[in-house]
Amino acid sequence: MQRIKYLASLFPNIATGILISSAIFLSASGGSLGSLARILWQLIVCAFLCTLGSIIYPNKELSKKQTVILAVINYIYVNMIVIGCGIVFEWFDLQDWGRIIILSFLVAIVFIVVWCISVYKGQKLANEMNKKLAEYQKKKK
Amino acid sequence: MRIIIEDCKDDEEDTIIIKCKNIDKELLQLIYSVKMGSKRMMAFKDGSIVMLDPKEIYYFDTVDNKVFAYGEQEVYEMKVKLYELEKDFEGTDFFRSSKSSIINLSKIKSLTPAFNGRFEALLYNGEKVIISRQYVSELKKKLGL
Repeated sequence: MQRIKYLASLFPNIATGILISSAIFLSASGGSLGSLARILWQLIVCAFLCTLGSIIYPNKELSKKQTVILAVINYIYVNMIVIGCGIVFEWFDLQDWGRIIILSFLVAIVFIVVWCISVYKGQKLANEMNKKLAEYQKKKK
Repeated sequence: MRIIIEDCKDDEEDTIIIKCKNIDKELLQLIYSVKMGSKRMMAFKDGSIVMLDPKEIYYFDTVDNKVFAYGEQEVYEMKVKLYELEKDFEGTDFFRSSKSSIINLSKIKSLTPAFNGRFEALLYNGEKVIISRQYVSELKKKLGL
């Protein structure tokens, strides 16, 4: 299990590295691979702009309400970026409502999955800390 | 373990010297309890001075640049800064839980996750105190996680 966790933590960094190096390699190769390189660069730009949305989270303590408001703003921002990139990079037309709704839905799914993972991790850590806390206090008595 | 008590001169400060091969967990606990037991803190309540036993303190909190010590029911005003208390109680049951508070680990009943990587500590007196995300790692370390 520890090894799987370790691999899972490595995966995003490796995937990003491969994406960027592939885009560079395919751009340099030219020819028929050029269109594939273009899509990879578009994905990198889209991911970078989505990441910029995290700037809205300040480095200070937030209340529950502030956290929810910022998460909603971040969700709207990511949606705008993904849809905006889709239109600018001609992945679909502005009139193509079906795809826009599907894309928004997918972004929502990603948000929900990330939220569920953080809740699960928080609960797991709380259980571990409570166990250790009980041991610590027992030892003190 | 041998305990040796020696007389000291009048002008000398009472000193505890620990001679050991290595400092293990049990010895650390002993040092913590000596440190905690020997301390008395000056606090203020209703205009009068009170000497507090740190073991009775649930947590310290800062409100409007004033530091308060919270007992089971009572609240005392402290005339020291929070970072001074943090330094004084280093290596004891107390740990920094946020920019504005320090909690006594032995007074925490349970911990529950809160929003945004924070945790909520339910104390034995029923009060709830927030542990900020950036101080959770310190708590984990203290608990041996």
